[in-house]
Amino acid sequence: MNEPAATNLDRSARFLAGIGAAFLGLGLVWAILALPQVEVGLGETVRRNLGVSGVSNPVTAVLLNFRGYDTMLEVGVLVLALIGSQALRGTGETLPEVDRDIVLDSVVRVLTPPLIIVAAYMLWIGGTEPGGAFQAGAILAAGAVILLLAGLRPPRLWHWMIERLAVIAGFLVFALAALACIPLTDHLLGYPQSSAKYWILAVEGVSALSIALILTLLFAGHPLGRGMERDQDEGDR
Amino acid sequence: MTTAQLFAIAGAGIVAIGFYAQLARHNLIRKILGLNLMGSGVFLILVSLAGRGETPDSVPQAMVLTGLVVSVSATALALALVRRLHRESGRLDWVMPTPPPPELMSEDEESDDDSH
Repeated sequence: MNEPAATNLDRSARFLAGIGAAFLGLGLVWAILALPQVEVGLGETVRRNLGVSGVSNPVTAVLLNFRGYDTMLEVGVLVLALIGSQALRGTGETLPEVDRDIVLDSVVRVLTPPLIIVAAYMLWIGGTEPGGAFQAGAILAAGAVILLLAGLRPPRLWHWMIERLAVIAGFLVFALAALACIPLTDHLLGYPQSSAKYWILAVEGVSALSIALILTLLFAGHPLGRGMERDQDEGDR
Repeated sequence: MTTAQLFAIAGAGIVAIGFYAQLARHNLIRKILGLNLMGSGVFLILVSLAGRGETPDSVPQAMVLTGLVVSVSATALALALVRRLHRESGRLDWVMPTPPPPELMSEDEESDDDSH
């Protein structure tokens, strides 16, 4: 879409915006240069406590254990964004029909299984190396988006109730794990030290699936589950 | 100047460019792109500052990972809003809301709040 013709007001507004942006940039540069050159963060504290976290990758330890609260709410943010975007979708909007093409079909069929394996590997390796639930979820979602673009749709069994349950499963399991930790260790999300690895793995596994589904649905822009059409018609009346 | 500082200053530049796009552009898609640019700049600053010590600080890295997901969610929601706006009004740009004419103002007192 073309920008509307610039008026005098526009030009002065842009000038002011330019000055504002320049000040913001210069202020940030000043702040960056004023920071001490040595590490003053919590990295050392994380490294010292890595032994009790149940994983050996510091980033995963921070995400799923030390700051698990942030990650739990982050999954909640994803669910909220999905609810918002689906509430805004137009009535009767569906994915455009795609001409099925034999080359595209076979490429997608070859691509999908390795993507699933890579996602599972990403999830598992998250304990020791860079990786984890979000990376795995993103890769799975990429696979699902490829399937959608190639015209492959979810199976008939994929009911909208299953879809909604799967969307909130990640947040639900995370929240239940957080609450279950209270009687065990007296802390919200304070996993018992001996079994922390398994708590993290369970939470990450379910979260990864939920994240993948949420990202796919955010891409699709409307629910994919069957059985919604009738409900939607009733709702529109 | 260290490498970490150089990357962080580049991040500051990206933030400034994104901020300008958000303020000066009417097109909402460009505004969303500007928002994403600002986010990327902040992530670059955080990640590069995390690398100041001998071993990278894992807390800012985890924060960026969290921020990436939040930024993807925000972008998706913003795009859904723009799509809806486009369908309802056929427009993709933001224009300054013009205050209603005075004769309307006196009748409808509620619109007072919007005009400020």
